[in-house]
Amino acid sequence: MQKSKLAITLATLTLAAACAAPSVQHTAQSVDHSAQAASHGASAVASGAATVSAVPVVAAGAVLSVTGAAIESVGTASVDAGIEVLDAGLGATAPAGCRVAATRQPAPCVAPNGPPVLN
Amino acid sequence: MRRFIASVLIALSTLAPVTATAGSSAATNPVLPAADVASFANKVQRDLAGRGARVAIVSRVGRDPAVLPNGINYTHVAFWVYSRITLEDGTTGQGYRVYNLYQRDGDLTHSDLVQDSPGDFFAGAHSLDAGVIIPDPRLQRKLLDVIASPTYAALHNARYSVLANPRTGQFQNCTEHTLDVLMAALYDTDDPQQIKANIGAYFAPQPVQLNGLQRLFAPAASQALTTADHGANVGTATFGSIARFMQANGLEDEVYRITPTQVVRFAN
Repeated sequence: MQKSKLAITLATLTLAAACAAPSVQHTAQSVDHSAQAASHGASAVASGAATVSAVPVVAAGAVLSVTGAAIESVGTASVDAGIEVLDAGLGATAPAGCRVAATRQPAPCVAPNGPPVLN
Repeated sequence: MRRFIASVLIALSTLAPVTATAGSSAATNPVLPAADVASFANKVQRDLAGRGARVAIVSRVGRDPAVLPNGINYTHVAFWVYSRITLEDGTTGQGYRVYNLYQRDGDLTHSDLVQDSPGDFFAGAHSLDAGVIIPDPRLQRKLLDVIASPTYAALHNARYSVLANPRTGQFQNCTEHTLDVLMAALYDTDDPQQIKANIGAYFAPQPVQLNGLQRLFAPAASQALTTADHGANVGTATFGSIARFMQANGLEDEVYRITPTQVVRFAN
């Protein structure tokens, strides 16, 4: 019976690792190494000050550099994983007639645009 | 009855990403040393900066590739955005901020949009190996517009499935959200139905081989393993399928793999 439980657990943990936050990932990877996992928190690298703002830089120019607070260093860098949840929506559910449950075709009630092109 | 239960257990234990030895090999994976993770995160940041990338699609290896389905090498994908960063202690700098969709800790059937750092992105990796897509600079500008707009969050569907069908809006995973944002940028639209119609018409998901028994009983192991949004065949968005889509349509500047020791261009 233990083998049965193990099989289910492994299947779950293995698949559940996709898109996993660092904390989830660590849990999944540490099935038999809980002590090892316990030594790593949700943020294995960063343990210093949290990021209070991050503004995309849109200025033109080909040469960029990585400076100051953006440089990762063990114990002094910057961010806490998982503390900055932006939003969680449920998205828009398509009307019943538009759902694609049984086929792999696009939603029939909305015609696709042309192939993607960049101007 | 005993035989039936055995069949179910075998099906579960051999779900596509799992081989007979997957559990033991996964369990013996060491957690990567923090210093190595930090060093690699900086290497990827500097590589992107050196190429002038303001937005890139970056993926990581979350599991031993040997236990993943054929054609899937990377398990998590996110946008990296070149940003001006300010810490709470007042220090500033310029580098990359990572825009993730993560499974919710404690409830793997739901997800949240989370910003973190390059170091955190790789903290849970199985190995220091990143797949990178640098979009065409024109597309980077469009992506920035979407990421900085309410559309980015509006395209999030918190109902999570590991194998979400990118052609439907029923479930979503990190790669599908990335694809939805990409499509929103390409077509200048925030209409989820139009985005799904265009994905259905032009995007080829990565096929995942699962037999009927596996599909039937996987949700018993975890609801995050549902394939209820698929038809007869299962296909999901992956780093590789997004890369192929972008290459096929001339939307990429560069597609490559970076490890601590080398940078390898993925063939077009």
